[in-house]
Amino acid sequence: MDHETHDTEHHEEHHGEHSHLRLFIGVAIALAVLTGLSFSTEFLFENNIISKGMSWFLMMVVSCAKALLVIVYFMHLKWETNWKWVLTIPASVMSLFLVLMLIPDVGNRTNHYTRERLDHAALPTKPESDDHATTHDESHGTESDDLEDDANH
Amino acid sequence: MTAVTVDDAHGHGHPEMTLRQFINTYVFSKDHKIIGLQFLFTTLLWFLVGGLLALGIRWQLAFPWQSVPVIGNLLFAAEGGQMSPEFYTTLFTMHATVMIFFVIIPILAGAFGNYLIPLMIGADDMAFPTLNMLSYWFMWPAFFCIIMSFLNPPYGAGAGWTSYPPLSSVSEAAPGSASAQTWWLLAVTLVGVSSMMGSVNYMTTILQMRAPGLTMFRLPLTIWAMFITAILQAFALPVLTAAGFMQIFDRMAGSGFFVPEGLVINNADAESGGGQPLLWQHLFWFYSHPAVYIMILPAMGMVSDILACFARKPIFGYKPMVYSISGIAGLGFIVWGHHMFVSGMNPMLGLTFMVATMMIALPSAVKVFNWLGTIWGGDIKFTTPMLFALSFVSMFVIGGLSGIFMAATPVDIFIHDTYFIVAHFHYVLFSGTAMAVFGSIYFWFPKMFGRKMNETAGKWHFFLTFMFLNGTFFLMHILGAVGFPRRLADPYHYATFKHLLPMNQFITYCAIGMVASQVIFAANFFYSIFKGPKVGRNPWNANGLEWMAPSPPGHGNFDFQPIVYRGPYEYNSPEVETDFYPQTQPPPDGVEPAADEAH
Amino acid sequence: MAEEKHEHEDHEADAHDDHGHDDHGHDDHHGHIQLQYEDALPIRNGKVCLWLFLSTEIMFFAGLIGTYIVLRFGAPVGTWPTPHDVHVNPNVGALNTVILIISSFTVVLGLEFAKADKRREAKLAMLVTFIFGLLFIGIKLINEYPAKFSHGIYPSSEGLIHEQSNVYYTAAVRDTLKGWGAEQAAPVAAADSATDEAAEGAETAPPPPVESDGIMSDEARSLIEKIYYGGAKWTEYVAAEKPDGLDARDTMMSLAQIIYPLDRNSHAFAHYIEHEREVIERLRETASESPRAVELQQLLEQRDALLAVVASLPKTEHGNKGVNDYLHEDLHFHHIMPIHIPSGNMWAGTYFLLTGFHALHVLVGLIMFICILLTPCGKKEYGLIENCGLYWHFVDLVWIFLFPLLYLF
Ligand SMILES: [Cu+2]
Repeated sequence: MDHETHDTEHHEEHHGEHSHLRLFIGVAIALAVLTGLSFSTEFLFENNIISKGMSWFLMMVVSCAKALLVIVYFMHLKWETNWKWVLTIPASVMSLFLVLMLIPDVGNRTNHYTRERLDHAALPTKPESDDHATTHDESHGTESDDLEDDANH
Repeated sequence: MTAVTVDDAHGHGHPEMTLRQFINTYVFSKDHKIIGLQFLFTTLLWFLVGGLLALGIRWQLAFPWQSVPVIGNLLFAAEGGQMSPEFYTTLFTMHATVMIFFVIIPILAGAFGNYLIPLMIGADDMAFPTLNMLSYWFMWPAFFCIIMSFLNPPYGAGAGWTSYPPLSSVSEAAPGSASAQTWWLLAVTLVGVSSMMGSVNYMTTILQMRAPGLTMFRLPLTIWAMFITAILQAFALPVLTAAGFMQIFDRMAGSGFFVPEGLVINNADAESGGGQPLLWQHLFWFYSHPAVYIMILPAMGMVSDILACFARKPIFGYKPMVYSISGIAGLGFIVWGHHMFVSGMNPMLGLTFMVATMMIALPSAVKVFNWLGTIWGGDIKFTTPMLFALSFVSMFVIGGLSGIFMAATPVDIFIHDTYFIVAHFHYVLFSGTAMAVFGSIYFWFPKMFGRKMNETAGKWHFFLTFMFLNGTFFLMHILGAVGFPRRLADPYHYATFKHLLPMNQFITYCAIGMVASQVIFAANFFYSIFKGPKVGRNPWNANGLEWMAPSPPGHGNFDFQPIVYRGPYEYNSPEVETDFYPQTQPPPDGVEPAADEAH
Repeated sequence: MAEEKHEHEDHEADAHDDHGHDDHGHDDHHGHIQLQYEDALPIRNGKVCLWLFLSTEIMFFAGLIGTYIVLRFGAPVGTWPTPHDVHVNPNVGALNTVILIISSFTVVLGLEFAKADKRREAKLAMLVTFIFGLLFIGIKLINEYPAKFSHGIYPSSEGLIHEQSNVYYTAAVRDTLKGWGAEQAAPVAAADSATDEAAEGAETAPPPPVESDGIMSDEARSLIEKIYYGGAKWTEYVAAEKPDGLDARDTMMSLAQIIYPLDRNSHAFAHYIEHEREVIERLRETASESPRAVELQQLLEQRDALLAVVASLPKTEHGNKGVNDYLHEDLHFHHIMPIHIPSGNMWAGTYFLLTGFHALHVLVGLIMFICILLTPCGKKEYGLIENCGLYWHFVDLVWIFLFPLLYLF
């Protein structure tokens, strides 16, 4: 049986092989560089240049960029026809929606804890830091300070 | 365009069949029709089991703590045949589980989906026959697990079909959560795997294997409904699978995803904690609300086909029907929180879910009005399938309207966990889906077996079932309105509910009558398989592609290349003399083919 | 029109064959006519099915990752373990990220070679992919998971992780040490039989040998004794004396910190130890008046000894090494004491859930690559390689999100 499908021929017309190889190498390098970027946001946080929340945000942006590179180039979505939207958009919207709807109920559940419950929860130290104004002290505040800071924004 | 006929002479039915051939043809078959029938027979068997479990529930509610007939002395010899509260809990849990996961979902998607999809779109089989076979055989490990659940203490899972933590998550914490619960979780997860295999296969088949000329907007509504159902399954089921695994880990590895910190149940300290019981409810209902549409959309599709055929009229508003199916499915994904109004969820979230839920009434009403428009002024033939279809429409109205009650948070807070809820979902699932399934069996039986079922027996079956189901389920509205609680072995323990005993006894008599009437169906079904009158390809003078194939269709379904010229609902068309106009019939000379819809 | 149809039919038939491995049903196509179909999506059926399958996978991982996100950010403020607390090494995670990226790249290469029918090159590319996939799993199984298990970090209802350093934690440490034979058949117990614990201790002699091979170094034995008296029993004694519950909790926190130090508590611990000197002095002065004088004397001695040992433990970048680690790594003692990691069980649960399901997907991918390597890897296998490649990229995609979420957050 003739295996030269319409499909693959179509592919080859669109883009020569050599330019392709170079493109894929470029994407792979970009991915590696972006992985390094995730790391550097951690570094920026360690050195008090950005806040923890900011570093999380940047990491997620980097991850989304990496995911897009993989989907668009490695998974060939750049060269697919319109069906790609029908599949990928609902899936991403649904998955995001699921996570978002979990946040008010489950993700924010400790927002409604009483002070007493927090005191007796597995907190690391005495809850003397009731005033959150003193977060971000010079010695790169403890983990808990930063978390509280974020949670109260 | 010529159809290439390849050696049609020796197709099937070798008279001398070896055992191996028999196994390949009827047991490990890759033919979608055989797989569909396998699903049909197994699910009907489970239907019987589920029905008997329901009778157990009804017995306890009508004659609390009295010796259970027949099985009482077998199971509860020590208690003089009286069932235990734990057993009652097990009964309603397993009744729901069997009916939902082993009857309704597999009979709609597995049996009818498998049988009808390739036939109605003019394909020779599913896109992936092996995957299709696997999706049936993955049901068997699930059957094994659910049977193991019956055999392990406390002899059936007892945490409700919703399996709410922490009761279900903390192993051995309470009589209802012993190892039977673990088997239950495994069973449900396996059913999910089976459904998922089916759904990707159905979607691929419907997208890729339609007969020439069969554009998406010429598809029968059954196929549209099956397609949308498959999408629902593909997107919703994985979340339940994930949650199911987490609960299995909670029980077996002590991970505590759904166990709050410092929990003590029944003097057992759930050592691990820090999780959130509400998380399970969210993940569970993220699947299980779309699942209620998985349980009714295919029935709606099949009813639409039956109504058009026996009203001898085109379906009223074909495209609005398609859009409303899609709309119901789309909205169905964003309303799951309405099951959690009294769970202590975030009120802002509750309001969002309430509004979204109310909006589902719109596409549902569109469907009902279109069904009414379809039969309006039609030349109605009151055949058995038509009677069942008409009852579907009317009963769905009752079930749908009571659904709007509980969509409103303030009302729901009162009726939550009362018999009003039980009335609602039985009106939708039994009076709705199950009646549509009966109708569809009567309707497509001639195609499946080449013989017709007995009409008189069918009508008796219909009238008895219809009467008894209303006797059973309608009164539950009244019980719920006065607050009669569900999932309680002895509500009469509370003086408030003592006077409701006679009503419950009446309901139980009706339920027994309803189960008994199914004997007529079973007898008719099995008798007709062997002795029913033989029929030709198109006994109902319908338009669909499936009626153009032989009855029953051979391997490969079609003995000609079907080419489609129009949608499946051209009844009483002015273009032809007959009152039906099959999709494959070329238009008469001089008449232009119907304008082609968007691809 | 006719020509177009014909092409389409070719394409269909081809699709069936391309996907022969999960599509044997079409072997028995004899005996009925070959049907033609309406123009549909311009891709193979196998690819349609695989993309649909990937959408279901997206939802599956959305459920898992969503669970992690809400449990992690919904944990009581400040309790979620830092990577260092739970022996997560971001460098290893980054290494695995790069490994997966390279393997994704080689899959793409393999696909290109297969398209051009360069079989040897294609096979080589797939082999490299397979090896990198194996490397990923290997690092998981040899480095990452054992690092957690050996410190007692795994989800379990009878596990070593305690969410709080409270009286239950202290009792668990005490019982564990007692089980290791830390209690001397000493005069303390006899002389001080008034106390319940002592009476209990007297009943449970002789202590069972712990090490199955019967070898426990003297150093380890003496350290275990010190923690028993100077750690667990001391903590119970002092905590019971303290009227303020939060003060008592600080005492118990110090025990947890000695056994398994957490970064976040190191300041508080240092502060507490300073402050404890005064307590020790005060107790020492009044020791003779106490009704439990003999016991208290012994506790004070052992406390001093324990603090001396702790101060002499090897330094790490975050302070002193924990006693658990010291026993385990330096004294080759095989068991570990209960540890205190706030939200530790939930961390372990989500970590193993997410990485476990991801690793399972990697394993499935490896099996697929073995199947591919058994084929000629030519143009004929283009569809197969493309499908497996898409799946493999998806596995990579999931890891792209898991890496920052689990290793850097
Ligand atoms: Cu719902």
